[in-house]
Amino acid sequence: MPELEADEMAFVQNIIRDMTDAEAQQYADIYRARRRDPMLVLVTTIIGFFGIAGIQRFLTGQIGMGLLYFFTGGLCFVGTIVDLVNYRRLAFEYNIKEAQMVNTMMNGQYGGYK
Amino acid sequence: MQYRFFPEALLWVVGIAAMGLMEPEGEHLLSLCPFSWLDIHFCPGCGLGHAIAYLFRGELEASWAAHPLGLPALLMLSWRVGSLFKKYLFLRSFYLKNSLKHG
Repeated sequence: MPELEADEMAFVQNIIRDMTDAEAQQYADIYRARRRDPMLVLVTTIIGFFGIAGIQRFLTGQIGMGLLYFFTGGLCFVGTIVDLVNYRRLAFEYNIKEAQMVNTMMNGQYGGYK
Repeated sequence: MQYRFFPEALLWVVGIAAMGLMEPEGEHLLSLCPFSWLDIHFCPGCGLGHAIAYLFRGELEASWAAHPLGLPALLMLSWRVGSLFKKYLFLRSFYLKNSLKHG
């Protein structure tokens, strides 16, 4: 998956290490649909300066922080600035959780995809 | 990438501490808000600094008057710092287990 960031790639490689090619392909398909692209996080953070703050936090599953940002102008813009510097890591946080989730889904805990 | 959790966690802790230790009743408050330096006052987060300072002194009503989301903000940020720390530990153990060089 060429669009993955380096650290993300390392994490995913570790998960799919022991899979067959077909399984790995399936994993890639599912994961690709569920991950958040860092660019999207960046754009929504920038929107926070001009319009609604906190969308980037909603996108990465942090509802509480998102609401806080929404009602406080991005924590007086300080939060938005922090997220601007940190957007890659915000996406990464969410993506590694999703990476694990896809693995769990595929291993039959929810009835199986195989 | 695990070391990058520190700046955000540090920022919240230092920010809250700085605001908490300020005197909310003081005349010339050292303002931490760049927008207030420029005389721009449209930010919906105005008053959070005062709110946190009041909370640290146990005055809940004053805090609510300064900004109603003072207490939720404090709780949310403490939660966030905690979860950042947990994620850091998780990633660290992952990198160590798989003997990856630091990300």
